[in-house]
Amino acid sequence: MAVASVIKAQPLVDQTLPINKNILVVGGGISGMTSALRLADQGFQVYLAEKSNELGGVAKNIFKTLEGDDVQPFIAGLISQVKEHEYIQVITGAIIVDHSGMPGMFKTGMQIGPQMFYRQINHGVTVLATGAIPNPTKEYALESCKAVRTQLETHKVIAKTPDTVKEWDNIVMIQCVGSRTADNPNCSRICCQTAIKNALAILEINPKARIFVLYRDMRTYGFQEEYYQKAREKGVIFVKYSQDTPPTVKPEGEQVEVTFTDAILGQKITVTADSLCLSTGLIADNDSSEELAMIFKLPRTADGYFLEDHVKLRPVDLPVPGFFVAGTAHSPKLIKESISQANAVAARAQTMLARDSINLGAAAARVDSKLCASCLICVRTCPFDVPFINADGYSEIDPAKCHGCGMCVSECPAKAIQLMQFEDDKILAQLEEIFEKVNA
Amino acid sequence: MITAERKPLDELIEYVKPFKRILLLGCNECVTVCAAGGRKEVGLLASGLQMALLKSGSNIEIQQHTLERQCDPEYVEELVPMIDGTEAILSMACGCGVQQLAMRFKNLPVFPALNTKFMGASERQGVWAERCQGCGDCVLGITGGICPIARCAKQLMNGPCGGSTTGKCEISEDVDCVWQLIWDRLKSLGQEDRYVDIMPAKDWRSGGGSGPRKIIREDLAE
Amino acid sequence: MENFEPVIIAFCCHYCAYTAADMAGSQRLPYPANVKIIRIPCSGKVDALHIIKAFENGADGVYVAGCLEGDCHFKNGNEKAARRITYVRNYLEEIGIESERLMMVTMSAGMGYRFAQTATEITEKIRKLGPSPIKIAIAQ
Repeated sequence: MAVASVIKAQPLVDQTLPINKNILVVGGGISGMTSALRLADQGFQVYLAEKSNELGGVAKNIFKTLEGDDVQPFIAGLISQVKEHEYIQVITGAIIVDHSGMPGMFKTGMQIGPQMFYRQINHGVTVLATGAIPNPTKEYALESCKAVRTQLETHKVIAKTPDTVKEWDNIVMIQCVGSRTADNPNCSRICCQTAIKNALAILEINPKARIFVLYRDMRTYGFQEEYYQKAREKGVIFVKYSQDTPPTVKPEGEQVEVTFTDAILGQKITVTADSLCLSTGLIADNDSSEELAMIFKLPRTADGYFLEDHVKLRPVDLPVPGFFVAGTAHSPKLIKESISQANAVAARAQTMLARDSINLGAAAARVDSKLCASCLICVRTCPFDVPFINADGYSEIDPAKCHGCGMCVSECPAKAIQLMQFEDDKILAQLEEIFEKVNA
Repeated sequence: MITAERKPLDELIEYVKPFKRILLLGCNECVTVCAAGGRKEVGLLASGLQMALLKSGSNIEIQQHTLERQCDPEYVEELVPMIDGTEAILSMACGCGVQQLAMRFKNLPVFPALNTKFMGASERQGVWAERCQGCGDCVLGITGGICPIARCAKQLMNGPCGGSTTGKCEISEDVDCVWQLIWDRLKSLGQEDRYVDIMPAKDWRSGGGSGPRKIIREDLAE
Repeated sequence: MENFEPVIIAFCCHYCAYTAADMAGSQRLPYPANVKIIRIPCSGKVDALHIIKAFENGADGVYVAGCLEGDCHFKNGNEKAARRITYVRNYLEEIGIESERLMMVTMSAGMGYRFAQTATEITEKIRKLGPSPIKIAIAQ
């Protein structure tokens, strides 16, 4: 099929447009700030729009990484660098409301602050780093019982009030809460290592604590495996549970009774835990990502994350030229992974920004004036009002303005328009080839 | 512009069934503009005919071509080299084109693929509406630029009939009463007095009442 | 027509269904090999002529897969495509081909599962309908 089509291929001329070198970064978390800094360091003007009133994102709730690095000083450093950078303009309290223009020359409107003051920004590159949100699940008495916390909350207790941790004798952690279920089939990727990080931190403070991690699959990928081993060595007990028989939880005063089936003993075990930590993971912020996807015309995955143009070949590019995605807006990630991706985005964006024009491919509609009946059907059907009847009385389509959708092509009653790259003879050749194979 | 619509496929199949090889001929003027007989429609009809005939067990070779205009002899003449072996022509032009072909190719059956409808204007994408009946004696100058002949079911010349209610014609709620339109227009032009003038009975000879019409420009005619 | 395996042409919009097909692949979701994909930049680009040609060549089914309502990358190509499909379905009936053989479906780029599911469902539907009358006529 493809070969039959390629046989009919014609030489194509790429369309180029001048590019506006300003960058709009949406989202002021670690990813957004990192991309913004990298690009601003190269001398490009960056507008960093953040929905909330301060920079930092979800990472403001994280104090240590698995490897033991301090997160808060790092974020504080990022924030001050971003705020002080001569080429970065931070816009907090900004809600994106509209978007128009062409690749290389976008216009994005936002409402800013409590007064909803409207501002429009011209830019050529857009970086989406809108992040994700902790899964707001209510399972396992999370809301009703004080002893039940998310891993993020547990992490805060460990960092801020270590004395509380000293009083815990039994700690149970349940993995995959609200993830890898029918409703949310996604694996949050970060929870296994978070559980181990917190378990190790608890043991550091309170070496006598008994920690049970109830898991479905431990996925401590890469060198995280070493920390998993370390946790086992230190006596953390890992118990596998199946999705069909999840642990049950019963609040008992200040404590909580957790009952689970031990696969080796083949019987139910009840632990009276002083603290139950739920690994609830991250989910896409559907409210904002759905709206942004509509405004920017970008595709999302079934679970609401922005979908890259190609998983392997263009992992940080979005399908619209000049759009990139970094961090947990793309999928759940660790801080260091978000930083890597943010740097990748900055590098990809620079391949565009280093030039004075943007290459838009060759898919533009072309009119054969010898065939054109000047019927105006293309003029009326074009969603972007590009075709017009020229002084010679024929339809003309400016290839630089053409978006390449091909609607005029399919409606032209004189068959006078061809969309380059998708010419009729190429499509027909594919059709014929299919049936040549089938009928043979 | 002349507007037209494709005939039902069954009728066309009856026309072409007896032949082994036909020419399906489009026209790149009015019928292309009203999406009835341009290259696209020629292609669609050729495939449709081919399939329908194949189903009934017969085979036909359909040659496709589209002329700039079928109603001019010089364009029609272009067909001469390609018409060898063609047993019939199915024309996707208006009636004028069909007849031009029939006149030129005396030994070839020529069939219309379209029903020619009316002289109309485009209201918007994909919608064409009747605007003129070629009466040969235009009254638009006194009816505010809106034609009561083409757009009144009764072709009334002196105001609406009793069937006009709330601006609509009694034949359908979708049809405006043209005399309402004319009145509104005259009013906005400040020419209400025009409405009061009685138009005499129309002489329909100029509209074809005394046989087929012809225009001869003596300076041009050879 | 024993061991009938339908041939189905799927005109897939680059911005949704075509990417969804890719997604189905990377999620290791199988879908019937009966579905042959032709990529188009927008479902609004699908040409009535190409659909008819597919049937003329012997397709048992054709579907056009565009973006979800309101999600068209080019504003309203999917709506135009839906209207065109209705028009061509009527023409198919005139020709004597069951109009159920032509469908319009919508999905987003992230819906790999839906792509595979749609492909499977449509293949089963066409399998039940049997070979297209044109294919039978070609074979005779």
